[in-house]
Parts: sequence; C-alpha cells; structure tokens
Amino acid sequence: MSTLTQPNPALMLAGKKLANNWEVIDLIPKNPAGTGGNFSHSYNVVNWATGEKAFLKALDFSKAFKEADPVALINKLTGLFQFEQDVLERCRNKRLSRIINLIDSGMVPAEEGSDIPVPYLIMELASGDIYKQLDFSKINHAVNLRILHSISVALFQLHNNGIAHQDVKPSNVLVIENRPHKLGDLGRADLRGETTPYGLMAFAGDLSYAAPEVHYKAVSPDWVFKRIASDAYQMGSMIVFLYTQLSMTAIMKMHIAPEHNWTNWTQTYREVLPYLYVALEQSIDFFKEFVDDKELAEKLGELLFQLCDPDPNKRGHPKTITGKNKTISLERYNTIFDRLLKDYEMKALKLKLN
Amino acid sequence: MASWIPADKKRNVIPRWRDFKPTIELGELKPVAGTKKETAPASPSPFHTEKIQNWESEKTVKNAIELLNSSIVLDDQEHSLSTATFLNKSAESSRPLKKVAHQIIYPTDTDTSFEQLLDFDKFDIIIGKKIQRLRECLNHNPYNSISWIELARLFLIIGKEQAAERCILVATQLAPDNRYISRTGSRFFTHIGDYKKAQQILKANVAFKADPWLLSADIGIASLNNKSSYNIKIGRELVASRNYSPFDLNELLSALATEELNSGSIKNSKRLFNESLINPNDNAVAQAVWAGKHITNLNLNQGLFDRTPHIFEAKAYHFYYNKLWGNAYSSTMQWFIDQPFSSDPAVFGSFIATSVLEKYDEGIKIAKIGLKSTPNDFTLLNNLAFAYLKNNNIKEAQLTIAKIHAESLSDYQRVFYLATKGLLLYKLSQVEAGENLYNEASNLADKTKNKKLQLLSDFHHLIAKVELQTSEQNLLKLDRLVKELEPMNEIYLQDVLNNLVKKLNSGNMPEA
Repeated sequence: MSTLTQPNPALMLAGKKLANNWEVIDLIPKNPAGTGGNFSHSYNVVNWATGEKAFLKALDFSKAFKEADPVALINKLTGLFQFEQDVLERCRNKRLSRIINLIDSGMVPAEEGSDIPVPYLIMELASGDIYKQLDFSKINHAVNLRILHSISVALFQLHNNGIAHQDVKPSNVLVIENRPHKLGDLGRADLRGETTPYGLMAFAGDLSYAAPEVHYKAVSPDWVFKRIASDAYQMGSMIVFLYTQLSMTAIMKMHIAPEHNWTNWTQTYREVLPYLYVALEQSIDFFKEFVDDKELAEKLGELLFQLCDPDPNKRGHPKTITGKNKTISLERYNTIFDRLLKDYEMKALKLKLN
Repeated sequence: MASWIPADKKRNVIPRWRDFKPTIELGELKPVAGTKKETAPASPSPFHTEKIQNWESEKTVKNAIELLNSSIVLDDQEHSLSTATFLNKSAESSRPLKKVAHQIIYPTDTDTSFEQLLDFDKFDIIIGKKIQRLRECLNHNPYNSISWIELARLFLIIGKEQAAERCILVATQLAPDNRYISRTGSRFFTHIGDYKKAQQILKANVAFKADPWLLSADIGIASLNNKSSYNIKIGRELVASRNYSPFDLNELLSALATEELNSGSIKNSKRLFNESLINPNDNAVAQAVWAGKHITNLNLNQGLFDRTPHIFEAKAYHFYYNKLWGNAYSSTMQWFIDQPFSSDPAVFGSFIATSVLEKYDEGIKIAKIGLKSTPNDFTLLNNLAFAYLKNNNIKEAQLTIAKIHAESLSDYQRVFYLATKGLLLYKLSQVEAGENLYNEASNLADKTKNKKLQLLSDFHHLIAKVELQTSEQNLLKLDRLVKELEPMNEIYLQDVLNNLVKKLNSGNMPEA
C-alpha cells in the first residue's frame, strides 16, 4: 500500500482526545499564520478538565516519505523535534518567564489505515506574533518599548542558561493576552558546550535578520562572540524593525556600496569593517528619522551603536564588552528598556495631565 | 609676480584624498580582481523560499514586509521590486517602508549632503559644521575609522595639522588593513613631509604586496622623496601576472612609468603610460598629461578626458595650455573643491585668477583658503601678496610679505619674492628701490641660468613701470618679451599685455 494514498494523520487531529485531558479543537491554517516549519502543523487545543486553551504543534512525517531519502529525513525531523522539546523543557524547568511555555508533549500513535505516528508539543497559547500589534501608520512607543523589554529579558534568561536563540525576529515574538510578550520557536537554538542539531552551522536562523559577520562568513569560533553576539545583534535589529518594519541587516545592505556588500566582497572581514561602520551610522540616521520622539530616538540610536556593532568583539554594552573579562551580556539592557519605558510613560502622563 | 607649479616640476603618483563618497563612486575601493575567489552558488534559503510562497499565496503587508527584508538581504531583485511596488502603493504601509520602496523602484542618488565649498565666504562655516557633525558621530561610533579620516581631512583643510594627525593615527590603528585608510593615511604623512611614516602605513597593510593601489602609492612616495622604492620589482610582477584589471593597475602602471621616465628610459615609460591609460583614474591621466611634456604621442585623447570622472587637475592644465582661461579656472575650482587641503589647486587657482583673469578678489580668497592648510607655503603667500598689490591693498600686501621666511627660500623662489617686493615698493612710490629689487631678481635668475625666469621678471618689471607711467618704448619691449616667452610655455602673457593696452586706451592708467 502506498503512503500517498493514506490520509495524512498530522492533518487529522481535529476532535481527537489526547493524554492528560487535552482535546484538539481545530487546525490553524498555515499561510496566513506566516513563517513556520514545513514539517509541522498547528492546532488549537483545550484541556477539558481545567478549561485551559493551548497551542499544539504536530510533527508531520508523511511529507518525508515523498522525499528522496525518507529514512534520513525522518531521522533528522525526529532529532529536531526532540531537540526543541528538550530546550523547551529546560526553559520550563528553569522557569524562564519570557519564553513560551511547554505545557505537555506526547504522541498520537499510528491508527488503523495509517502507519505514521504523530508526535506533538502542547504550548501556551499566544494570540499571534507582534505583527498583530503593530499599527504601521502610527508609532506606539509604549508598545514598542514593552516588546523590546520582553525580548531583552527573554534573551538574558536564555543566555544565563547557556542557550542562544539564534532566530529572534518579529514572527517569533509572541503576544500573550494580558501578559508580557514571550519569545517562541527555539528550534534553531544552540546550547553552550553541547551538541545541537545546528551547532556546526555559522548561523541557523533567518538570514534576513542575521548579523553582518554571518553574511561575510566571518563568524567567531568563540561561542559567546558567535552565538550571544548574534542574539545581541538581532535584539538591536528588533529595535529598528519596530520603528521601520525593516531589519537592520536590510537597511545596512542598502547603505553599503555594491562592491562592499557580502555578495561581492572577496577580501577579509577586517578589511570591509570600516565600510560597515559607515553603513551602520547611515542606517541609524535613517532609523532616527522615523522616531518622532527625538529624545527617545537618540537613546535608541545609542543602543543600536552598541547592539549592532558590525564587529562582534565590540558588540554589547560598553561596560561588559571592554575590559579584562570582556563578554556580551544583555542584562544591562533589561534595566535600560525598563527605564526607557517608565520614562516614556511618565512623559506621556505629564502630557496628558497638562 | 605670481607663480604656479612650473611644467618642469616633478610630479608623482601620490594617492588622491577626497571625500569617502566620491572615492567609492570612482571605484577605487573595490576588492582587487586578483583576490577574487570562485565560490559555489549558495542554495536558496528555506526561509526565503517560504516567504516567497506566503507572498504568492496571499499579498498582505506582513508577507510583503517579510519578503522585502529577505529580498534586500539576499539580493533577490525580482521580489525586492514586486514587494516594494506593493508597499509603495499600499495605504497600510509605513513611512520608512515607503521611503525604502521608493528607493528600490527609483534608484537615483538623492544625496544632497555635499555642500558647495565654492562659496568662499561661508567656507569656514561649512567646514565647521561638518567637523561638529563628525565629532558627534564619533562620540556614538568611535570605531568608525572612515569618520576619523574624514575629520582629519577637514582639520587639514583649516590648517589644524596636529589634530588631523591624531585622527589619522586613530584611523590607521582601527583599520590598518583597509585600503582607503592606508592610502589616505600615507597621503596625510606625505602632505606633512613625513615620507617614512607614509610608507610605514602602507606596508602595515596585510595586502600591501598584493594590492596594486598600495604599491603604486609606495612607489610614488619614494619617488617624491627622491628615492627608488624597494617594491618596484613586486609592482612589475603584479603587472605581469595579468590577475588584475586595467583599472586596478592604472596608478601602479603610471607610477612605474614615472620611475622609468626618471631613469631616462623613455621607450619603456611611454609603453607603461599608454597601458595606464587603458582604464585610468584622474590621477593617472594627470600624470600622463604631465609626462606629455617629456614624452611625445601618449594616448591622451579627448575621449579620455570626457569619460574619466573627477579629472579636474588634468583638465585645468589641458585648458590652460590651450589658452581657455575661463575653463581652466573653473576646472581648477572643481579640483580645489575635490582636494581643498592640497596647495596645488589653490596655487594654480590664485595664479590664474590674479595673473591671467585679473580677478584679484577671487585670487585673494583662494590663496587665503589654501593658506589655511599650508600656512607657510611660499607660492601661496607670494600669490596672495601679489593679488593684494594688484588690488591696491598695500597694507595687507606688506603684512603678507612679512610672513614669508625669506632666509629659507631657494634661489628660484627668491626671484619671485624680490619681484613682488619690487612691485610693493613701486606701489609705495619708492620707484628707485623697487627698480633695484626687480633688477636684483633679474640678476639672480640670470645667475641661476634660468632664462625664462629672468625674462618673466623683466616682463613684470616693465608692467610695473608702464602702470606707473606709460611708455611706447616699454610697451614694445613688453611685446618682444611676450614673443620670447611664448615658446617657453608662458602662454598667458599676451593676454596680460592686451589687457594692459586696453586699460591704457580706456584711460584707466596714467598717461606719459
């Protein structure tokens, strides 16, 4: 019997009752939901004992059978799925409050008429990614600063536990009803000192948001200056995105002369760095042009110089990146974004009262 | 009398130091072709593929934003354009998105940051503003070595040499391996006469022996220092390797050609100069124009002048030798804006303005601005004093002449100095003393066996005399001198004489 004639079990979960009182409600259509894995499907689920609503990610093995080497692919998919589950469990055990919470996991066994089991993860329900909250016609500084604070805290929590996210981008920053934003999709993460599915890659995330050293193939061999530096850059890139809907990498690319951009550059990263600093400055000027609060624009611009420094060895807060035991830490940015948010709220309140 | 760089003065291929933006536009900062590596085409990014699918299935602002970002970063021009067109039209799109979309759809240069330095009255204000802006930028972005170089250039323009040197040292420490930094750093130390340091900076660049742009600078600087570079052989090897494009090699070929010319090998020099002109920059063309006085039939044609950008120096001389004074002056002004810290365009500009066009106010302004970066430059001081005298501003002329260190002048310079002082005395009605100084200038030129200089001094002496008191005899003498000096490349004197005669006829001069 050919697998092609079988119904795809990963698409047939709606209405199923799962372990621990979970019931699958409906399939979330893929395209409008935006980016996500090609080998998984999403569902809304509910726990009929507690009434808790959640999100289910089901691994779809069936597509793998259509590929040239299904065994290798199934093996790879299982490994990736297992890895994401492990990382999420680790985050749950460490009580990382700004990382999407893994509630449960399990497997729907192969049923009659199908040979394929469906492993799944049940995670807390987000109402969508930050695109939902962005009003492109009007800047909402309070929302933006709250998002930035959440990302900063989330990354700090991960880094503190030896995890680098590697794929911080708008669609991975999730909106949770009445609670702070959380970071999702840890499938591309890397763990310090451990073997991970993407550990050997210079960068595993979305290249549109990747740091310039990734594009110039000049990533440091040191874990901190490779992985944490990359997350720090993406944090900076999120500042730019929230105000311009463009990634720092895209803006910088537009300010780099064609002969110096990563597509055409043939010499060393050291040699191209001076041109990248010029592009960074021009990109930050571009960014500041669109932040209507000039005081805030200056402060955010200052943070961008630190977080998006094209040299990963100089990236991050000056007090941690310089000196004898230099390292990259986002801890100080938690305070900075918190302060910026409070200052802005105070300023807005004063304006309202006047 | 005013002076400029004589045609027989040695010229060397020293890197140009202009603003960063035009330097990029001229293509001098491209990676050299010799270092090109063959790389396998990258496989399409799965994220990008998915974004294309999302965009094709649903044309929403979100999908457009995601794909636009990805397409810009990954050079997918087709999707950059389609998403930019969508976002440019969409009412939901934000201002920054619309701006970027517009830039993608209509990729024209809208940069208006270049301010017109030709407004001499606002020169200091413009430079001051630029310095302030760069300082602010460097406060935020202290690792930007190119901003340090730009700041150094501005400091140099206003004569703050020590501040400029500090900036150059920071830049060369931050980015010792960048071609632009190495070349401009070496250009700075050449400007201040520290040739050793200039060459050290070039050699500290890891690509020194593989980059023709660095080798050419080394050879040019050594030649300026009256020495032969140790790297000529490597330069020849790079040329012979055929790994580099004609443009990458143009300055190196020009520098090697100059070396050959200096050693008397005209045939080799001509071959190398002609090779340098296959795809030259302005520096190589200017060098060839200079060499054209020594080598006949170089491939210098009109097409070369038309297609080579920023060719202001070569054009200025070209127009000058063709007696197109107005064009020569405007090209010199463009050259001056391009290289405001260099004394050469200021010298040539003040000379044309004062001696040829008789625009004394202009000559004074150019010389004064030129003196900011080279305050002790004799030629500029002399041209300024001469312009003041011609403008009947005796007091300023006296003050300017007082700034010249007469003791350190060469015999050649001393002839000009004595002649200008002679004119001062004429203007002060001390005719006899003035005459003595002019005669002293003429005798010194004769002593140094410089016939042209002697005739030139005599010419200016006669002009001073005629301006004081018209004499037919002196006018005839002047006419004879013009004819004698014409074959010696002093081609502007006929116009000076004609102007004088016109003034006499119009009654602006005292009658005999």
